[in-house]
Amino acid sequence: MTLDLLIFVALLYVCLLFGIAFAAERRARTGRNAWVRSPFVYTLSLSVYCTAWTFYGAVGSAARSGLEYLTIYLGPTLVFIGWWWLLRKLVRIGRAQRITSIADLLSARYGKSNGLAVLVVLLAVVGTTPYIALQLQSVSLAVEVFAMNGGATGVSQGVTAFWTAAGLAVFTVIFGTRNLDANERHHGVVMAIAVEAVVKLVALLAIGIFVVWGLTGGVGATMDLIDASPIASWQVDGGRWFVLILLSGAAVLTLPRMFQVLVVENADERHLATAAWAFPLYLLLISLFVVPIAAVGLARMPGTNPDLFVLTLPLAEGQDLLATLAFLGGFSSATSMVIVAAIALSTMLSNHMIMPLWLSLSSGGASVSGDVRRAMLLSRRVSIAAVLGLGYLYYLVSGGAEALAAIGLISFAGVAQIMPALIGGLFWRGATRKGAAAGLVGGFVVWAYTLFLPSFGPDGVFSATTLAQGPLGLGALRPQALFGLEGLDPLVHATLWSLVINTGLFLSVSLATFPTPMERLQGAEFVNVFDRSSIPRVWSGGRAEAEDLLVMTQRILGAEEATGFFSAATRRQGKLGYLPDPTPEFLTELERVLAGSVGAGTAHAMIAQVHGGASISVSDLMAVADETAQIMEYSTQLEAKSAELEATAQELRRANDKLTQLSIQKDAFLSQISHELRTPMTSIRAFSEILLAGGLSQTETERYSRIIQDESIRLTRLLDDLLDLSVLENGQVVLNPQVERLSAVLDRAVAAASAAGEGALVLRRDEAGEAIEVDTDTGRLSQVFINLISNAAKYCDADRPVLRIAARLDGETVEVDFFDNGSGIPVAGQGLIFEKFARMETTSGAGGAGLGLAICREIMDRLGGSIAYLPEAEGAAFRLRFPRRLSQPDAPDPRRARAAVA
Amino acid sequence: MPTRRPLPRGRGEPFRAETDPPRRPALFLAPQPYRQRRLIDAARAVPLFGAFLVLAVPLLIPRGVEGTTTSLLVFLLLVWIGMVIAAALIARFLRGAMPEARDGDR
Repeated sequence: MTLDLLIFVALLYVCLLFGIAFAAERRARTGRNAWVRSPFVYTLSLSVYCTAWTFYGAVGSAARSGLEYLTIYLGPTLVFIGWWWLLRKLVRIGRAQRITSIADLLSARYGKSNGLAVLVVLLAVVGTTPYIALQLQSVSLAVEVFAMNGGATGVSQGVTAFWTAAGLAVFTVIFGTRNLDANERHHGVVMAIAVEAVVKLVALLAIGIFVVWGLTGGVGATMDLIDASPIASWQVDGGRWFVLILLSGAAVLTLPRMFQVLVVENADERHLATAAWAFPLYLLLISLFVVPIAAVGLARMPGTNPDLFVLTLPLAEGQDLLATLAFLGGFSSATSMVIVAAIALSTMLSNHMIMPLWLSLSSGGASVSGDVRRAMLLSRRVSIAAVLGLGYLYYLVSGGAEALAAIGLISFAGVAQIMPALIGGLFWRGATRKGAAAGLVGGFVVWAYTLFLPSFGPDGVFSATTLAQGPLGLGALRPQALFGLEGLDPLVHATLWSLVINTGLFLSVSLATFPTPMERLQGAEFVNVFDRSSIPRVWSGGRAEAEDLLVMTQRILGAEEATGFFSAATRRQGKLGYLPDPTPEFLTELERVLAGSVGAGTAHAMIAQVHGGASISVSDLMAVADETAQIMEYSTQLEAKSAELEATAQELRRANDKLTQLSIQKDAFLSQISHELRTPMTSIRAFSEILLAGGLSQTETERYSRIIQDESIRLTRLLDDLLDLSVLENGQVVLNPQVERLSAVLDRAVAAASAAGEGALVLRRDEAGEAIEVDTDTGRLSQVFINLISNAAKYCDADRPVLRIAARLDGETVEVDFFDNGSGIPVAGQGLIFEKFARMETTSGAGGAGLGLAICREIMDRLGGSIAYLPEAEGAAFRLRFPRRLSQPDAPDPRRARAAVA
Repeated sequence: MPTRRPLPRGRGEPFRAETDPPRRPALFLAPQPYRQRRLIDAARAVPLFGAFLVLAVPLLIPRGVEGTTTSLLVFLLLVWIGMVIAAALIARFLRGAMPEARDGDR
């Protein structure tokens, strides 16, 4: 295989890629892009993760340190298997917010701040440039290997690298900047990358199969060969194993090229569900034969560069075709990485650095300055050329060779600094712009100081003395042993410190600062992206002129697309013509469309300019939101108050009804009591007059005197009752608690009631239930009993009146029920029976004044209990409840105190 | 027999029409959304379990013993394949829970 033939094949391959990209673009344009948008093309495009560094370098790494190379694939595998945690949210946000790059994502999350984006862009450029140089180096090294093999000499590595870089620049400019909308899919590029992904996988698998079955003789023999090789034993440092998996897992999210294919180029969220398992499978296949190739290479070609075993093994065995395939695989890995990285970086550079600068320099603002669209495209193209030129320059300056080999991991550690701000931004609404910026700057500085700058070797950037003893002899600041943390692998050391300081600053500054309204709005949008699909309205409409907006949009999107967008919006608003009203909805939609081209920050600034400077009314919006919240709260309060008033009114009405009824009762009672008082008074007066008149016989005198006495006793009883009630009501009563058996109290009450002459009543008592020791004012209690018993005797209208008394103990509460077998109290009267002066009208010859039950209620109240009428019973039924031990808060019972001591 | 309105969203979402006033979500789910929730749990658990195996086991293996490379390589490849199969099975069912592509406006 001659060098010329190889170059011819390579050119043919490049032409094929151009053709595929063209065809894919055409199909996409005509709408027949179903195939281009398949989830498997998406998965394959993710393989830009596997660069030449992994294509060649993995075997080299395996030859040097065994299984450590696997970490680079295991990290992304875990991230993809765990897609439901993080990737799903990332992709959803990317689509909802029309994110154009990782820098744009952070900028949009943290209040559309361009400053933060610039930081990320710088980090990305510093991290990616050496990486691009590495790809150029791999291509030129591979060409050199072929040249040496074919006997040709004098091929300068620099020349190969230059032409590679130039060719890639042309390809990227053609297919990477066809549309300005960076958020639109680059169908051609994605398709070409997918083809390259297949080529590199097939190449590695072919070499692996050749090595295992062609050279070694099967799986078993290969296993034996590995066991006999220098890498047979597990040597990997635990810290490195962990840190490398962490870094590669982070890199698959934050590397600009990975973010480009993963989020920006994603055409359908559901593709992620396929990529979640298919991409890990791809990585598994890529890494499957790495160890066998390394072992066989070590056995057959000791002393040669293990990084190139993939090429040199087939060449040494005379397998030219296989070697060419390997070359194309490596070439594919290198070119796909460079193309996507250049697109991603150029988008970031132009959206976040060149365009804002250009906009602020052109005095008139977006609406009057020249053709923004052309300027944008130009800046993209220049950026692509600049990125590739920078990579080439880095390659020349670093002189290729060993210094580049470690750059892959250094780059990983660099972009991993984005992780805290990214994760925090996606899941924590409290993350602020200042916190993110502090974390990024801190992490970036520590990373540069401990890893990136020392990577140029002793006397590269730091002198050997600085590396060994620290700057100015300060041992604590030694770049590779910061704060005295010695003996760690430099990568582990740098990752540890940079991420710890980064996260620490991010969290503490976020906690200490207060976010702007815009940050809070965007934070809520990002964190709750699955809950709410509505866009917050950021623009308060009215002042922006639709025509100015159209002019500006035309300059960015192009005349045709801009007019189309505006007329569609007009139709949606139900108007004729092509100029819609600049409603807040329209402005928000327009901003999102523009953001797809120029990034969130710039789009926001441009609309703000046209909108009349004052524009961004997020603060107004917040104020309005506050006002609304206040109004809503006020109205809730009003509602509550009105409900309360309603309840009070109801209560008052009830009270009034009761008062009216009571007043009627009282009137009735007054007439009753006047009658009651008058009747005995009349008799007393009449008979005393008769006695005064004299001339009566002894028996007559005796009889009349008895009548006078009876009547005055009746009067006295009535007055006693009235007095008793008034004493009870005023709370002047003194209780005399004593311990007594309930049955004894009842016995006394029954005796007293019978003495009063109500003998017809049959009593049924419950001896067992009454055996309760009570400690209360039993005198008052028996007064209640007497009242109830005599009431039953007076009012029970049964032929053979029976009163049943049942007592029981319910915890510490005594319950005594009185049931009679009469017809009870009519429903209408039940509410009033415990009121003073209440008396049922029905009864025959009732002697009381209607004070009995009122007195009972007052007494039970004093005893800490209650009396209730049981309406569901057959006859009249009363239930007394009172505590077994009377508690008197103001006068502690001395006996109780003794009991407590005992 | 009252006709039932079709659910407005994918099978797995807690059902609430976007236009309806917010209702209190039901405490218990029907069997199908329940199954979907558990699938999501599985999708979350598999990477954690895999990460444990991938991170912890290599750290526990003694260093410098001959022949450990091949056995560890086989172990890691098996874990890897296991994760891929599990993720593929879960993803097949979860795909339905994800929204349709809304690319028509582009």
